[in-house]
Amino acid sequence: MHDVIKQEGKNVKRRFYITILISAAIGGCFGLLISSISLNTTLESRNHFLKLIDLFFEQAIPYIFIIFSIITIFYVLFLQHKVKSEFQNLSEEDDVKIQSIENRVNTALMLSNIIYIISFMLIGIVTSDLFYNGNLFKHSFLITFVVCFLFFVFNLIIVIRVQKNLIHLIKKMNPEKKGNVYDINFHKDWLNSCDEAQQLMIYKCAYKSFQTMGRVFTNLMLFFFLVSILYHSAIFLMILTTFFWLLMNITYSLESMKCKP
Amino acid sequence: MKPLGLENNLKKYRSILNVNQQEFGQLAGVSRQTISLIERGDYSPSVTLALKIAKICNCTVEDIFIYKEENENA
Repeated sequence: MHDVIKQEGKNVKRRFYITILISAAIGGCFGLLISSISLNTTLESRNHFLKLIDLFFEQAIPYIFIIFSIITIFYVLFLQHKVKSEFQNLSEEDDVKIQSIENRVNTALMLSNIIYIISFMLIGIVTSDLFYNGNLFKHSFLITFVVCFLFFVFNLIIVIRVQKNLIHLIKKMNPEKKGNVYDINFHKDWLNSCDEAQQLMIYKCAYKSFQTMGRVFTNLMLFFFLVSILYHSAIFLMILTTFFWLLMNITYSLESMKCKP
Repeated sequence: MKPLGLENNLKKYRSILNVNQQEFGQLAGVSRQTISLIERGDYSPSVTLALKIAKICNCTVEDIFIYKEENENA
């Protein structure tokens, strides 16, 4: 038994060192590439590239997001209509059908959350553009801002209404569920009304998010580290990433300490 | 991720009782989703819930839940 554990430990260690070596080699190559770009280009030419990206964010991103949001909103409304009519025609014995309705409801909820997050990003970009470089007095920027602001408000109303309707439908399908989307304690009430299996599923999903975000933060940190060779301002992004990474880990650790007997 | 080695006859016993997942969930005091997860083998119920389910089906826990060793499955 001891030998098996020892052998397993050796295998894990070997895999760990190989992964570290490969990651270091890939990181080194990128670092070399970025530093050679940094040495062979002037700050001006790099700033020109940055301006092009800025221009892209300023001009294209708001419209890309608006088009994406409109398509997604229509799809979410279509899903909502479909699940409502499917639920009305549901026979009591149809356990498979109810499962497929629940899957559609979950998809619609996920998409409505995406619209919600993107809407905030959209209004952030447009507002920032408006107050940048005297754009406040330019008609084209003002029009873009007003259109995006109206769209932002419209999105929020639609998302909140859709979420309310979908939660109402879930509560109809599962009468034991409690909570009102307009209530500040909604998540607490919802979790308390879930039974053992549902709570386990929620915790599994939360842990998966924790794992994913851990990977995202590691890669983001490496990316910003490389970008900071070209642009000094990327240090701010590294600090911001560090803050959120620390926040996530400290929250997890404190919560796990609380859970221990 | 399926729990290792636990199979069940819950669907069979539920059809004998002639109730759907929602109704069976109400009898056991859990949600329809939990019954669905157990039937699919995606969730191993707690001892309390397993005993409750056996009581509703009027049989023993071993009649519904069958534990198989890993090498037995192979």
